Amino acid sequence: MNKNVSLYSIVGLILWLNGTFSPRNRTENFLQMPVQAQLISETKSIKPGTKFCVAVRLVMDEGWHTYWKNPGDSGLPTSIEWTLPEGFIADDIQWPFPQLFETSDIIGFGYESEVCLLTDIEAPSGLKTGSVVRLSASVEWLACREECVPGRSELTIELPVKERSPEPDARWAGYFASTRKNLPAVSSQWEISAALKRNKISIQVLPTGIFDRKMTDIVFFPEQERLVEYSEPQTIQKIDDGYSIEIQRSNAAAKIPSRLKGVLYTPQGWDTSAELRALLVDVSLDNNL
Amino acid sequence: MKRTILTSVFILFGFFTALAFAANQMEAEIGKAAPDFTLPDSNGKSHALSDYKGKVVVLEWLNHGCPFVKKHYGSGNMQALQKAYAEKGVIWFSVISSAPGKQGYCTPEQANEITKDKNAAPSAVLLDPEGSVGKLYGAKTTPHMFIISKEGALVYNGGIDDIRSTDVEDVAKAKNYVRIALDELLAGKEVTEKTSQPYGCSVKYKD
Repeated sequence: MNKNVSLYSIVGLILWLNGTFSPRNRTENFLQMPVQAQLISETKSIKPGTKFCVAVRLVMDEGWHTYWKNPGDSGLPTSIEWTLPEGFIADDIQWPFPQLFETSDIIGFGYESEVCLLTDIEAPSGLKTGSVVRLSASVEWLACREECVPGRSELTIELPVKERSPEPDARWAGYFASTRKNLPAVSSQWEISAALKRNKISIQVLPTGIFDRKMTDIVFFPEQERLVEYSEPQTIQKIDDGYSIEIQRSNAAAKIPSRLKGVLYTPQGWDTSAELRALLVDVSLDNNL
Repeated sequence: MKRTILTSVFILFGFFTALAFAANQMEAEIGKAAPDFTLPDSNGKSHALSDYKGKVVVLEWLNHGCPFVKKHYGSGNMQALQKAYAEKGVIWFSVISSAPGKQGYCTPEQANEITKDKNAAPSAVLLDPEGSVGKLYGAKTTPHMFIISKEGALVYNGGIDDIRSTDVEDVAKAKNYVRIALDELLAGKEVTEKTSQPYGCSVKYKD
């Protein structure tokens, strides 16, 4: 009898351990975290009635990437859902230009190693100085290497409300500065136009003044989905003083939009100091069909 | 002499245009004849698309390791669609284009095992380790859904629904494009939304 009881308890103990430490639980909860997320603020405090900038910083393990707002053929854009005190308004994510990932003709647009997703938040003017404000972000991403793993993180920071102008937080200043260099921007030095020509979309980018650096490498990252074929090579031609970029339209093309949106990237830089690598494209798409 | 060269240039040009046209014809395009193919299933039986003229055929690109596929099998969504439309005479092929050694690749035995384990009910699981049928249709993601009409025309190419996530809870809230298209087809109507953005993991083709 006694022997039986102990046998039962051993079997019971084994079953219990199995349930608690089953490999399934373990992998789902602990092992598969190729991305670490962090919420950082550019300034050490908030001033009532002003905008301040925060960032979700994603640090990816080697070989893993997360996605841009248009993820490409597969993948999922990272999303941030804010929970803010009353009166606070968060803007959209400011996405740095992405890089291109290719495996067997399937194209992804995203980031490897690390990325900061900047967001401006406006504090209400009636905010009481001396109080502390709590900002929460629910962040979801898809990380892919060969395989893909979805991730989610609930992030929070607390910032004091002060009347004086906020001081930058020295710990993060470098991240904000380097990320801003990678944000697509409009340049008065370039004029962009786009037209639909049969089954191609043609983008022209012409200098407004004299620009004598020769670009050898230009890539258009489309913001809109199902407009162009990502895996088709983009044809770059020198025209007059500028360039034309031709891209094959998508087979599964959605309705033709009236504007073309995206990013024109060159590692050589669009400005004289070669710092502006990504031009913001938001131009009317002329239909020459 | 000049004329002969010119003529041959024209002939050559015509030849290449014809070739390009033929190549274009072979690709999957909405409203056109769906490209024919022959693939073995997980029981060793060979299926040609042309064998199923007169039936509505669904092609579902599958990789059970992919979190987007897990969303639709974990919620029972995919199995429910397979069963509901099998009863209405729809042929449903789950196609695995993962190459050997890549995520989602299955030997015939593994494919049968996982189909049973997931309680899935496709007409057959087709094995495409070379990726040739996947490439022919331009399958980019798992899942990526195609629907072929009784007449053999490609009538839908896109995602399974309109909420791009890996979250099981989104299944009930989403607009299921495949269900809508199949209902329209079976009612003898034209499919209204013929394309949508497919979402998921990339198909793990051979390098």
